[in-house]
Amino acid sequence: MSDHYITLEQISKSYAEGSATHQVLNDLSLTVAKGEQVAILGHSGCGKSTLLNLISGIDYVDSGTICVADANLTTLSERERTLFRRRHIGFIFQSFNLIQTLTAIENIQLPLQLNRYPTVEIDTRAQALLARVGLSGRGDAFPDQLSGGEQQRVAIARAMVHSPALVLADEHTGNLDADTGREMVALFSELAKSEKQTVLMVTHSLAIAKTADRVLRFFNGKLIADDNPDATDLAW
Amino acid sequence: MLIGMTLGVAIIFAVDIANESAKRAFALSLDAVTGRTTHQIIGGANGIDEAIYTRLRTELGVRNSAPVIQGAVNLLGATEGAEQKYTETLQLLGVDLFAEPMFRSLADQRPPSDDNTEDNASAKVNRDSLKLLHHGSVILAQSTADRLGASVGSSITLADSSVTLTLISTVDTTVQANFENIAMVDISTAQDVLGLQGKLSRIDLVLPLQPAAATFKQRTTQLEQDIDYIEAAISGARVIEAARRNNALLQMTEAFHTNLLAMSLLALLVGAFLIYNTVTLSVIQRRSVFGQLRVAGVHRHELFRSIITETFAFSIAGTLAGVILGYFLGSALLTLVTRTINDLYFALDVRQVNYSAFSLVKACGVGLGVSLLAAIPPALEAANSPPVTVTQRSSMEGRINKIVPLIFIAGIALMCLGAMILWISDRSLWAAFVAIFCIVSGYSLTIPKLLLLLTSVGNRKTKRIVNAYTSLGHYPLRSITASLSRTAIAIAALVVAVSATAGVGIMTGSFRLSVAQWLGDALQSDLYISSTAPDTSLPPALIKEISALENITGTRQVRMLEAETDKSPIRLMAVRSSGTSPQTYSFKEKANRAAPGATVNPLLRAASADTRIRLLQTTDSVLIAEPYSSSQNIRVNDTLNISTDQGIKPFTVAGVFTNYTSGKGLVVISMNSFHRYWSDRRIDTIGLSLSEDIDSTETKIQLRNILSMYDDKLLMRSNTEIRTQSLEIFDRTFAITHVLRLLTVGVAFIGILSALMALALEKRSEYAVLRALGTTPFQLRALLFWQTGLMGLIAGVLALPLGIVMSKILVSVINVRSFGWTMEYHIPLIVLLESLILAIVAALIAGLYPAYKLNQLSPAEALRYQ
Repeated sequence: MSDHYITLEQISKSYAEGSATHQVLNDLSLTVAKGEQVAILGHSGCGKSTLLNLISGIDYVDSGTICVADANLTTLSERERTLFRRRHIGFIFQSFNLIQTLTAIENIQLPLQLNRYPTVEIDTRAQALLARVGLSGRGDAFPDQLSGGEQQRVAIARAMVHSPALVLADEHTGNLDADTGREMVALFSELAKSEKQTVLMVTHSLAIAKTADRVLRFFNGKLIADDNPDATDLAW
Repeated sequence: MLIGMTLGVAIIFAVDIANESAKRAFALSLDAVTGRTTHQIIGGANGIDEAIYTRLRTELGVRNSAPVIQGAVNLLGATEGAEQKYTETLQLLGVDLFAEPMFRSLADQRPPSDDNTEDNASAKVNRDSLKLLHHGSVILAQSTADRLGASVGSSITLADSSVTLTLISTVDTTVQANFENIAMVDISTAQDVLGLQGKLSRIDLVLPLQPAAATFKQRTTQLEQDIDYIEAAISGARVIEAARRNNALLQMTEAFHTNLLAMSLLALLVGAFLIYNTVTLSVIQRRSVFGQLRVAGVHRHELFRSIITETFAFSIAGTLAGVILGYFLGSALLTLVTRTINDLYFALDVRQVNYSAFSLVKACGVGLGVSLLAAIPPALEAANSPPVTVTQRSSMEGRINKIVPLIFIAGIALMCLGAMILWISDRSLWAAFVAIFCIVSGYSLTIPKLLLLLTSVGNRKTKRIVNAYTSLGHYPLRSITASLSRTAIAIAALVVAVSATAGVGIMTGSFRLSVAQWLGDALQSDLYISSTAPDTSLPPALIKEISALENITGTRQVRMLEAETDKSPIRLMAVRSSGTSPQTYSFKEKANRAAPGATVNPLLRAASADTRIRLLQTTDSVLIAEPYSSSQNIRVNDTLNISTDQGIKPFTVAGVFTNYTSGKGLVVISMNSFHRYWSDRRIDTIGLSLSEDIDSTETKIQLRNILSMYDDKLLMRSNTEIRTQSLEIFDRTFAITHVLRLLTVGVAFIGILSALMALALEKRSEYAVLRALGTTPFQLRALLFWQTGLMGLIAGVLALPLGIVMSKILVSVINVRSFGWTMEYHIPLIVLLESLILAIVAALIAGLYPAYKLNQLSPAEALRYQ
């Protein structure tokens, strides 16, 4: 049994772009310890989001192995990967991606319903988390009735409500103003630490990256630096 | 979008083609058998004795006359070894070649040109026609001969005659279209084929006999004098206008065509819905693109113009494709239409597909017009909205939600208008159609509101069930209401289609039940013996022998013949009952009211069935069938003047009885009255009541033995056989309505499919998010099926009230106004259940392709391109 919660061994991923092939990740190996909060920095198209998609199992590697919590995702079927993701992973997106036809509380309840929690527990957990993200009384609002910050709070609550061991955040402050972004990071960080969750967050912001335990820097599909946040060059 | 437009236009055009082709073929057939005839001498019960014709020409000097024998025949194809031979039903036209040129020509009467292939062909046919003098010779249309596999010189057998015909020439129907349904033979051949030796069907005349006078008044006087001269000289003959007789025949089929017209209007509505649906969706789903164009600097006018121009270009392509598809679809439907006409009215075999310019313009107008009308509101909306909100679909849905109450009120108002039209219009069929159109259109406008109401109630109910399969209880119904701009139109189209299915289903169910009850009442005898040969009767010795049989407790003797009245031609049925064979007719109270203000014979006031039958048997009275009463506006106590062998005689209408035979007037007279005024003593059919305490099989064997000693063309059928056959004909008659109903549902199905495809496309990223959160592909598919199934269920539930209203209008208004049939209204629960299931199944099938596409969805890709 490995000490690492996430282990990536020589993974490669490419996409077809017309007749050409774009190599997104190239022979990447990486480990992340349980409870560790990792920030991933890099320019657009360097493979950050692809890495999250591969670790969550919503995309496939061309080669290499991905193990999360002792499960080798590369050998699991589509259904097994979906069930693994449902139980162990929470996802936060840049554009919130709330289901527009469901209310805030129903969006938060979604992972609990998918994991078939008892009805009572679904209500109590969702209401508790709604309160923790500061949206008590806004549960019946539909996404288009909420501000961007409020929508991202709902998205964070949705990603955390079923206490997943791993939370993946893909530029989760990218659509927010600076103040709201900072507020979101603080909230997200606090929630993750209290639950001892492993976090992988993709960001362009060094300030956000510095809130993590560790900073990975990517360039053209390769990991070029694996630093302590304090050592991360602000001029990067 | 193209598929939607194509199907919409196709169904409108197809129904019109089937209807018009059958109508044209019918009119051409009448034209072919009438030719330039102005008047006809119609005989008594069994045609005219051919000696009258000789007398007419020789003694009376009426040279403008030609004898005619006409009847339906079935010609068998020349397929070798086939178990069931190809049969073609044609009108056998027996003519006298020497008298014919003035009346009918086998070719156009155009002056011959130097090198005109068509005229040469016509001349050849006219030359060949002389060969008809050889007994058994026949001339057919070239197309008919091709289908029968016959060529000039080959033999053609008949299904119901031992005479074998020889094809001596063919007529090119591209030159002479009215020959399509005709088999032309010499008069003696026709007499042999139809078993009418020494008889004529009629004598055609061209009046006036002298060169026509200059003024209208003089011509009219001349005609009246000619008619009086002929009628006075020939006892029992009646001279009638050929056009009047043809019109009467055309009127008979008019009701059937009217029914098809109703289906065509329904097709128009659903087709227009589909086109509106697809065009609206195609504009709506690209709102974000339009928004981006507006952000990039495209002016609102430019955007509006480009949307409209694109829609117009697509609508031209879709309309063209629809017209082509409609042509083929119409050809297929034509077979069903022809079969019904054959069953009910006239032997006709329609092969030529015809359409009018109006039908073409109508189909194209709907295709192009509705497309543009459908594109204008969303195009205006997209062009006039601020660029930022154009990219947000929620803003548009918000606006739609705001106008839903207004649309609802407009729908209610339109339905009220429809109801008002029904109320104030008396007998107008067109008004009834306009009313039904208003009610259906109005109801479809109320659907968005009803949809919101139903989903708010249904949401709580379905949540738990959906949860069990998808864990996403709220999602399916919320998706339907959140995309009202797409789902409401698709559901409305399905509602209209399914309601039509339910409405017509209830109507045919009620009709079938009424027909079955009527058959039960009308067929009181246990066995029926009749002659299968046309215009022949049962031998009197046979009737005497059978009636004397020990096990026969009663007989019902019937003589059926064509007769003329002062209103229109009728089928006169002379009836005599004896023993335990009762005369049973169903008299509906409503149909047996005398005209308001009329002085009514006290016996007929609220008379019972027994009283009416007693009057029939003891006085110069008749009973008339309900459709005849309705179409000719003849009521109880009115007088009907019938042309008898002793001249025109008045008969009092003692009752109006329920009858569901074809639209031709059926009039019942007692055998005593018949014998008083007609010299005909023959019997066509005899109904036999058997003793209840004996084995009917033994009696049947005994009867068969007796029949075998007479003519082999005698047929014995049981009450059950006739009932079954009648109901089979009924079912065949309504086969076309079933097909059209299914086609309509098919069109609505495409509407649902396009709406679902648009939704699936738009919700790609939402589905990707659900997949990222841990929803399995199976759950996603189940979600989509729940959504489509619920759309179907909602459509089904909303379709039922409209279907019931539609059926009530069809039964109580349309059928009465077009056919004169009143019937029991009965809602078979099975029809409602079938309609509900049909809506759900149509929607579920429409969900298959989007579900397949969903299965192909790569969540990573959908999220990446978000």
